[in-house]
Amino acid sequence: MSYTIAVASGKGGTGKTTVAGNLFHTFLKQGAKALLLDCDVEEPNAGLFFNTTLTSKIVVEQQLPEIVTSNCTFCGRCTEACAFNAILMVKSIAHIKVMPELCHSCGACIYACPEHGAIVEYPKTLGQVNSYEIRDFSSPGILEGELKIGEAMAVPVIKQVKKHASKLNHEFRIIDAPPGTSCPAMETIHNADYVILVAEPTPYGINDLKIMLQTALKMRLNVGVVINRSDKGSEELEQYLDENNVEVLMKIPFDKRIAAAYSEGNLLTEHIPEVEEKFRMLYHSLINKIRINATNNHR
Amino acid sequence: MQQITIVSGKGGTGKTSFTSAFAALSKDAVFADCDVDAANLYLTLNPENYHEEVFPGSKTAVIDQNRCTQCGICEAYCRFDAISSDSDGFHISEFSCEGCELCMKVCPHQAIYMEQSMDSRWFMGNTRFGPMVHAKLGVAEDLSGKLVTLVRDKARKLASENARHTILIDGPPGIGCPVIASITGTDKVVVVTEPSKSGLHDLERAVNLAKSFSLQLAVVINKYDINTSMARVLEKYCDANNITLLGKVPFNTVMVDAMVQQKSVVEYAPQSNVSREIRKIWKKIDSY
Repeated sequence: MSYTIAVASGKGGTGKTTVAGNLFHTFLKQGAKALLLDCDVEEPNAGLFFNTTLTSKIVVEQQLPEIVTSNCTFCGRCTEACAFNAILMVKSIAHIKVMPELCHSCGACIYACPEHGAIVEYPKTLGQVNSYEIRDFSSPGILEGELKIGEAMAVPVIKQVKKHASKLNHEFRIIDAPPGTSCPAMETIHNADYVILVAEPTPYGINDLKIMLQTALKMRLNVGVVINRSDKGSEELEQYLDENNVEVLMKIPFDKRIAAAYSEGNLLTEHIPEVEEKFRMLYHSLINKIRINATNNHR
Repeated sequence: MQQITIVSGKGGTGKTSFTSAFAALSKDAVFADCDVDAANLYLTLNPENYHEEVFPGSKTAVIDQNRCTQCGICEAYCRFDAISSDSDGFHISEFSCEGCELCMKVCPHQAIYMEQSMDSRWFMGNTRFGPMVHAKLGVAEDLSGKLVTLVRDKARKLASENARHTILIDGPPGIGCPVIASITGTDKVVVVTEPSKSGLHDLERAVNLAKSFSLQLAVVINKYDINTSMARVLEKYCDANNITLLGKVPFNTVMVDAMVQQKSVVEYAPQSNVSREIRKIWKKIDSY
């Protein structure tokens, strides 16, 4: 049984990767068998903070349909079946074409086609899953999804990262999620046991946190909040969380040392003792939640 | 008409703060907030909306348990692992379902139907700087790329109706579907970055994306003095890749103070070092 903690936020740049990376480091230092998943496949950065060796690359492919015009009767059933308007047909000039950027590879066109061999599928690379070993720790390591530049579909890459993780032996899974509240973020967090939302107490940050919190609660997820750069305007945010019965897990004040360590790609838990202590407390409070959860489920 | 999109790759580098400052400096622009997942531009531009409309969202398959005979054909056909079964029967995860309708078609008992979300909305309004189009994606909603395309279409329409020559677009973070929808066919892409290892990594990916679409792009380094040596690395990167560096903006808390006052930084602190630099940058954007 593994336990999944996803680190997410509506707004970008609030400190998701900082929290996920440092939390993962804390789990490792406590001797936990933890795996870090970077599901921010559009901009994967979590690996930058660790001393790693790339051990494998797995290509993520999408099956794209292609129409073999010599076998096609231009009956139009595939275009009707496609929910994404990804097949364009002009019968009068015998023209038919699949638009790859709109295709979700669902297979509905093939199911609808009455002919033999009029639609075939070929693989197209969407991205890859990179596995890293971490030097200095015996851990299952880091799995990083990477969307190929110019590709629009992040979700299949995220699914592959999660699928691959299930094959590795681990107790804890820490996920660095993509920003936002649409498909990539939802796919990443929907089956997490616990979600940490990282928020900053600026007007934009509070607005986005509210959206994200509604989303997570609609998904019936267990949620707690980390407030980053907590010194300015934090009261309004804390009051809102209090009114909605959401726990504040940790507050990280703005500190030039933190900004400097982050910008160099350094872990805070290695360079700033107060922050290291905060993450250790966060680790213990998460472990506690997991225990309580396990006992409740047992009953 | 020219379309300028502000993007960043990495989130939180200051896209929306810059867009609002550019909005204040622009003479005849229409504003489009294409970060429909986490729209914030309206918090600073305060549009008075005169039009609001539902954006019909994604469809999700639902199983009618009274008709389902638990044959499992739908599960076998679903390529998104969205269908699973337990002792209560078959279920479709609304978060994994992509709405392709194949399960509905293969079901021999017509036990699957589609439900469409009506949670997303888009708006047209007037701000103190000009007309604005923005949107709000429904909670846990899909299809942000399509909503972005709609916002941009409406902005173009508003621009031609009001004889405005610039469309200023606040883009989403990342390089995926909504970003591609925000930058395709724009005349200028401005990438806002920050001097960190992640910032550089994400800048490279955003630049390569813009190049793959053959778009004109230029870079702004925000909070450059947080790490001046990383800022030099970013400058060298731009130099080596023939990318226009529009300017470097220092870290200054007036950026957040302006946001709190619901103003752009050039209105709130016009004499600050940040505002001086942003005015220079806007002149260059207008002319490059």
